[in-house]
Amino acid sequence: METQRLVELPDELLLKILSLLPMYKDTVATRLISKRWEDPWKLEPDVMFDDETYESFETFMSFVYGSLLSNDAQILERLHLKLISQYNSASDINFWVQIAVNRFVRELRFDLFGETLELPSCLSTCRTLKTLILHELSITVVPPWFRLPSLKTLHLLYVKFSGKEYVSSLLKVCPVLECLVIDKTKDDNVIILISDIIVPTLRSLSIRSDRELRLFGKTLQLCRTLEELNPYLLLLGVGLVFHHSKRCTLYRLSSPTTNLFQVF
Amino acid sequence: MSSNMIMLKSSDGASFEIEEAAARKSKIIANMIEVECVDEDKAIPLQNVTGNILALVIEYCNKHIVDDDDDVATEEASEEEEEAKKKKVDDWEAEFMNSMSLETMFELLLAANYLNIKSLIDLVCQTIANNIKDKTPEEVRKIFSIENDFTPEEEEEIRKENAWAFG
Repeated sequence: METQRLVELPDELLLKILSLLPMYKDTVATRLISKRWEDPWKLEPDVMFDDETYESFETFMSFVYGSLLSNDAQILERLHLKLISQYNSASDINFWVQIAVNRFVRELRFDLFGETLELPSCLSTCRTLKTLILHELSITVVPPWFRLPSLKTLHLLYVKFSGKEYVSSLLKVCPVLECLVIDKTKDDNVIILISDIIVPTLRSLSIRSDRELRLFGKTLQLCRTLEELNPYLLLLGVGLVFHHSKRCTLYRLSSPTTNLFQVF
Repeated sequence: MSSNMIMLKSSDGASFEIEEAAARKSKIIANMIEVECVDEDKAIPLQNVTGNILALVIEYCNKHIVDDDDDVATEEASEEEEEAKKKKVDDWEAEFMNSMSLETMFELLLAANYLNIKSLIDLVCQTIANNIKDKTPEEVRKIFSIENDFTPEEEEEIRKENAWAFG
């Protein structure tokens, strides 16, 4: 049959569309479209594993096996591990992250529901990782050899640090960090001190917290200090949350070329 | 809101005026503005986008920049208001996409990809996915101009393996 040719889409867009199809029937159906898509998860650039859903486990395992079996390691744009308990072991996480590193992963996200993350050692040599998002997890140690050599963006969202020195330790191992987002720490005993936030390369900083006074002192003073400590900032936002009412503080950086604000 | 206007020129020579704030929805254009390679008097030539598609892109950007501004202005908005607003945007997007042929969607997707407008890429991909989710592999092949490279035997094999999924 003569087919009417529509616009041809590049593979990345085709994969994005196919990945939006509801599981699982369509995943099998996509195998039938072309040999090219026989194993769509091997090519899938954006992988999420949520250990609460069975479908997610199936597709995640296809990603793991596909990545191990495939000779040409294709670029993995993003790996998101959302682990409640069952699969949350340091050796598993390390193994999966190693697979992602082998596939030149660019973004990693961990949601561990308060559990401890042992920082995967293979990240220390990973030159492709640009973005790391840590959400609801604990960090009990930053090993002295740990590095994030190419990391540009770091999000610390409800991260619990067992010692306050670990905040600055973690920032110190990111030599080219440009964007930092901190949403209030979970542990009442650990306060992120503004003097910990010294990153010479930092361009954008956002902080959100509900403990204004203990954390920061006066907001304006806080902004001034942060600006002094981080001379290359282009963007600075400070958000405060009191009993569910949101308030934002916008601060105009004094540098003449910068007048951008981050609003939460 | 910034009232700076910039000019965009489509591949077939049509010129469009757009507010800078709306044009910034495109990361590519935002970048060009950032590094100051946008001249106020000259239109930015967009080689890969035709006029009719560019008009759609601009309609989308204009709509969404207004919404973003609303967010800032009504910071204290209640949850119901937030939801009502989100529903309004969703309805608008549904209406916007509804009037389009599949071919136009493809062209819009390519344009959004070229201009790097993430929310528009997501919207169009989702709409196309919704459109094809009940189609057979043969129909999907046709839509995407994918060559059928299975032998009938291979195809039968996969169908058998997964018979339960096609019920």
